[in-house]
Amino acid sequence: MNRETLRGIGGVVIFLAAWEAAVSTKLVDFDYLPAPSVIAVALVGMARDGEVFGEIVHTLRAALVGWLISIVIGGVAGAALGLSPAARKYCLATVEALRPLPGIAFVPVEILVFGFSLQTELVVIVIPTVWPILVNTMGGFAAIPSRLHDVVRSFRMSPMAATLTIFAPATAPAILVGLRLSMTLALIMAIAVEMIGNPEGLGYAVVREAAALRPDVMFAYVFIIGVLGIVLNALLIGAAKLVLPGEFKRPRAEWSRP
Amino acid sequence: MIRRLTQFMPPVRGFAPLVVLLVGWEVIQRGPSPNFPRPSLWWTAIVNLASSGALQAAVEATLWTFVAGLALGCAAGFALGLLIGTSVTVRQWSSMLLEFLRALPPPVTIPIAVLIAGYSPSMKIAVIAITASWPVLLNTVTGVANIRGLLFDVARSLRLTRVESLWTIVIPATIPDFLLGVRVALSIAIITALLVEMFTGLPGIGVLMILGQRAYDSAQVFGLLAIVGVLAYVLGLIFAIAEGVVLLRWPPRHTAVS
Amino acid sequence: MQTIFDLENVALSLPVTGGVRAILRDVNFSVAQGEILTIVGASGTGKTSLLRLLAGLNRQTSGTLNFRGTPIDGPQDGVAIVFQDYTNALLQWRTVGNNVALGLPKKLDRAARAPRIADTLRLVGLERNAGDYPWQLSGGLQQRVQIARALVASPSVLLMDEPFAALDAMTKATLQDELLRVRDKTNASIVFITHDIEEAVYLGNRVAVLAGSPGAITRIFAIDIPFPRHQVTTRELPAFLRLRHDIHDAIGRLA
Repeated sequence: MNRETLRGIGGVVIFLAAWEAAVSTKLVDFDYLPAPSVIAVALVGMARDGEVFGEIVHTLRAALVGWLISIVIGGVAGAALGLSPAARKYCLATVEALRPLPGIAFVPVEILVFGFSLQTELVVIVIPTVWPILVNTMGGFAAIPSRLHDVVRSFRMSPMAATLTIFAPATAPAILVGLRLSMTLALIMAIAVEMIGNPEGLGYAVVREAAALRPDVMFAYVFIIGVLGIVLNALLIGAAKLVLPGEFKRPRAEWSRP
Repeated sequence: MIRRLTQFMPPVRGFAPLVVLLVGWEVIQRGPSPNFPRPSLWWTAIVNLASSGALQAAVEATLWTFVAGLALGCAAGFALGLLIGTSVTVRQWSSMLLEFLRALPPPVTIPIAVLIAGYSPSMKIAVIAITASWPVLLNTVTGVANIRGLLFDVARSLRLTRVESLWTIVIPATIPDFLLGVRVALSIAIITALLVEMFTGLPGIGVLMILGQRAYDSAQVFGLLAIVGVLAYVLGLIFAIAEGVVLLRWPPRHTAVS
Repeated sequence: MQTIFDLENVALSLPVTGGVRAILRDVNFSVAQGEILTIVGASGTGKTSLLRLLAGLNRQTSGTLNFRGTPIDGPQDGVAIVFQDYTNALLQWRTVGNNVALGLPKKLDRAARAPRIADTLRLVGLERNAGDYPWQLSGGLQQRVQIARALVASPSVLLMDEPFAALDAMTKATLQDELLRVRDKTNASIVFITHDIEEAVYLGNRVAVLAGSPGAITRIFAIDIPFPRHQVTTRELPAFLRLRHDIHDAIGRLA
C-alpha cells in the first residue's frame, strides 16, 4: 500500500474522527445529526435484521434491469444513427431536444399511468439513461473512419465478422463511456423514483427513516447507497478491463455530459 | 441572427420525428383518454394554469431557486476544486472521501437536508448548490491537473508570486474544464430542483405536476412535462451560447460527443 | 569583460522511481558578458537540465554555480528563458501583447508599459500581431512571441532551450539571423542549447560540447569566424566546415 492510498484512508479517518468529536462535544448540535459511532451501531442492527438486503436487491434490480433495457434501445438506435448520416440529419435535432428533459419530470405521468409500481420505476429509469448510451454509441459509430468501411468491403467481410473484428473495437471506448455514465444515472434515478414514486427499495428506506425521525438508520442507508454506487462502478470497470485491456492505459477526459 | 443561433443546433429537419409523434398522437387520440390525452388538450390545460397565474408563479419559483443554487454551487465547486487541485497534499488526503461523496446519488442529499434544515427555500437552494457543485469541483480538479508543468516553469522564471500565478495562469487555464463541469451541473440542478419540489411540496413546477397527478389531470401533467422540456432545452441553449462566447479566446477544443 | 555564469564541478542527480539517476557530472565552464555560447550535444545528455540549472529552476547536487559572482538560488532578475515548446510556454488565452506584457519588470512605470511592449514587438517583427491569439499564429511567429516576452525586460542574459528545433528550415534561418541582430542591439549574453551542429557554429562565439551519460562538457571550441555572419556564405567558409567536422567528431567520441 503506497503513501497515496494511506493518505486517502487517513483523510477518511480524520473526517470521521472530527465528526465524532464535533457531535459528542456538542460543538455541532443539530437534532438530527448523529455521530458516526451511532450510525455504525445502527448499521450492525440493520444487518442483523436482514430487511435491508431485500431493499438492496430491489433497488439493484430496478437499476440493472432499467440499464439493460436502455442498453438495448440506446445501443441499437445509437448504432443506426451513427452509421447513417441521413438518419442523423433527420433525427439529431429531436435527440438534442429530448435529451435535456429531466427523467424526474416523467414521474407524475408514470404514476398516473402505472401507479406506484415497479413499472413506473423502470420507465423513469430508462427514459434518461437511454441518452448517454445512444449519444456515445452514435458518436462511436459515426467516428469510424471511412477507411475501415473500405477495409470491410475490400475483404468482403460478413456483417458478423465485420462487427466483431473491426467495428466493435473501434467503437468500444465510446460505448464504454456511455455505459458507465448511464449506469450511474440508472442508480440515481432508481433512488429518486423510490423517494417519490414507488415506496420500495433503498430510496424509500431513506425517506421512511427520515420521516420516522431515526437519523442514525437513515445515515446508515445513505452509507449503503454510496457503497453500492462504488461497487457497481468498480465492477463495470473491472469487466471492461477484461474485455478491453488496452483501453485503460490511455488518459482521457472523464466527465462528459450525462 | 437566427442563422448565428442555428449554428448551435443541428439541422432543423431533425425535428421531424418529434413533429410526427405529436401530430400522430393528436390525430390518433380523437376521443378523451384518461392516460394519454392528445397534445391540444395539453395546451388547453396549460392556458388554464396560465390564466390563473399559477403557471407563472411556479416557473418563477423553480427558475430562481435553480439559478441561485447553480450559481452558488459553481462558485463553491470552483473554489474547492482549485484548492484541491493546486495542492497535491490536499488532493491525496481527500481522495477517498471525495470518491465516496461523488458516488453518492444526489437525490439522497434531499431527505438529509430536510431532516437537518427543515422545509424552506434556502434549504432547497442549499441542496441544489451541493449537488451541482460536484461536477464543477471534479472537472476543476482535472483542469488544474492538466495544466502543463511547463507553465509553472514559466511562472517561476518570470518570478510571479503565488497569487499572480493563480490569477494569470491557473484560473484561466482551468476555465474550459470548469465550463464542462458547469454544463453537467446545469442538468443536475434542474433535476434536483424538480425533485425537491416533488418531495417537499415547496413551490415550483414539480409541485404543480404532483397536484395534477393527484387530481388525475393527465393533460395538465403532460403539458407541464412539455414546458419542463422546453425550459431545459432553452437553458441548455443559453449556456451553450454563453460558453461559446467565453471560449472564443481559447484555442478551438475537441468538445464532448454530439 | 564580466563573467556572467561560472560553473565549477557541477553535478546533478534527479530522483527517479526506485532511486536517483545522474544527469550531469563534473560540468565546468563560464559565460562572459555579451557572448553567445552554444551548447551542443545528442539527446539524453542533459542539455535541458543544464539550462534549468542556469535558469535557477533546479538546484545542482554538487559543485558551485555562480551568477555574477554569487550562487544561484532561484530564477534571477535579468535572466530570461525561452523554452522549446512554445505552444505550452505561452498563455494561449491571452493576446500576443498581453503575453509579452507578462515579461515586463514589475517596477516599471504604468505609462512606460505600452510603449515598451510595442518596441519589443517591433524588434521581433510582430508589431501587427499584438491583438492576435497565439493559437492563431504559426510556429515561427509563436516562438517570436516567446522571444519578445523574454526581451521585453531588457535582460542581460537570454537562456534558450532548442528554441528553433520545431520549426522548418527557412523559419529557423530567419530567426537565427534575428537573434544575432537582437544580440547586436542589446549586447545580451546568450546561452543557446541545440542539437544542430551547424546552428551551433553559425550562432556561437564559442561552442561547448556536452557528451556522455551522465553528461559533461568535454570540449569548448572557439569560433573564429567574424560577425556579421551570413546564412549562405558563412556556411561555405573553410573555417566553418572544419569546425563542423571537429565538433561532429567530438560528439561522436563518447567520453
